[in-house]
Amino acid sequence: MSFAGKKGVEKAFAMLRTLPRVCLANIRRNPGTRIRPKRGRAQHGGDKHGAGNKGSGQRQNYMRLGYETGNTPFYLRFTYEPYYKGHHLRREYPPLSLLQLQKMIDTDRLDISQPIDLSVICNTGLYTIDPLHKHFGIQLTDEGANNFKAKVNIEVQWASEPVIAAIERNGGVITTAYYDVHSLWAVINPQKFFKKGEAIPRRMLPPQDAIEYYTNPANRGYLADPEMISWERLVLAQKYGYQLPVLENDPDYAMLIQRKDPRQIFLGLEPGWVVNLRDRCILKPTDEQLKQFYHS
Amino acid sequence: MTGNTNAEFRLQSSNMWYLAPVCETTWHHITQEYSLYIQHWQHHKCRTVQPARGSSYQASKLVGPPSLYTDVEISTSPEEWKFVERLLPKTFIPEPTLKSEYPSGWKPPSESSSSHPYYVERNRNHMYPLYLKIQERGQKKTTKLKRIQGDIWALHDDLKVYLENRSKKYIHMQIQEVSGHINIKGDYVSIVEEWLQDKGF
Repeated sequence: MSFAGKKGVEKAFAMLRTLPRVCLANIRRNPGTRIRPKRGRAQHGGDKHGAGNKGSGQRQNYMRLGYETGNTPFYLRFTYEPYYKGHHLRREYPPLSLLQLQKMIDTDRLDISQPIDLSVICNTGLYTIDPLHKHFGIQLTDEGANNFKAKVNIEVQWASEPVIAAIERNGGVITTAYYDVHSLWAVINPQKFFKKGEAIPRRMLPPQDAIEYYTNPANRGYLADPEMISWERLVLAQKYGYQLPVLENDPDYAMLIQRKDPRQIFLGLEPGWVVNLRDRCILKPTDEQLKQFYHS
Repeated sequence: MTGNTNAEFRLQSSNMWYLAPVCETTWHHITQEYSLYIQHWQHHKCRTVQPARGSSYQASKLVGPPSLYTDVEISTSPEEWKFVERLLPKTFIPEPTLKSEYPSGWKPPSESSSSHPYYVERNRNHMYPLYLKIQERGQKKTTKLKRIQGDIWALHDDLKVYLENRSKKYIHMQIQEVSGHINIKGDYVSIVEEWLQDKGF
């Protein structure tokens, strides 16, 4: 708290010194306050107390809300269109704009010399998702696309065409990837997950209605054919009219081509491994059957 | 229960599995093994060893003998540990480094900020302490500027002149001198932000 200029404070103290103390004897109600009438008890004061004469009013047995004594009730009288049917089952991708992403980069909250994914963005504390609310990850939106100037290797869960163009125009790469709810809990807070001492889960494949999105090279889906993706990169560059920077000539080429396996949820860490934060070591199971399970 | 060949645990009839009553010899085996199990834990108890559990206490069962689990290879390679450290959150908010340009429009405080009788400090995220409060279902909007130091009345006068010139309207402002806050009636967040940038805060 900052104690700004002392002028007003001193005036207030000076005034307080001359004023009498506030106590029960010298306070009164605020002007205009309603004083509730008391419930009368005598011959005419104690008649009905606002409940009226006879009927459900007096007996306080009101009809249920909306009931119209035999008519079809108003709320059932007309047909309706279920616009939001199934909304509680749909996947939600809370938005993160390119402007916000650029601001995080400008203020050094994100390190663009390393690949950026959901874990890294959640770790900044500036973006949160809640899998209990059917949130499945980041939707990167195109607000601030024209001012976006960073070269990043980013993985999000949903991205539109102008967003992909804005990232690739600056020499970056973008992947859209799906995480099932169980892996999502680990991804959004890796530290908490490691402290549990559980094996890193393997990532499940997307549900049926999401497979088309994540296998589409135009969306830079993580299950799409890499050759088709490089073709689509060229197509998008021609559509939006920019010179596509050549990835192979980039000094950060090794960083830009880092991708996760479709079964992997943390970069560089394989499913089935257990991370021990206290002893700073990684436990890798040697059982062949277990290895096969985590890699299939 | 190994070596128990005469006892049939399950009988199949018409696609249904039933649990058959366990014969006497098997029952003997079970009780013997169970008592051994109890003895084992009591032995541990008298040495005051806490039985181990997994980390999520309520959900996990007691950890059994190591023979139940797979062998592990323990890796302490620093190359692999880098991938773990990448996933751990920073315990502090880093100070932004000076760059030649900031495409997002964010600016660090400049030298000219100290030439005024007042000062507006950045918040811990290095942003302006400028907030929009929406009440009454969007009917009532208030812009709030916090963390004001120095002569708040001078800031009030300067800001008022600037806002009235920009918006061509009378601006209602409220000063909370003790806490160093100023409330402005209406949504003037972007204009106040421009003013703060002009002043170099």
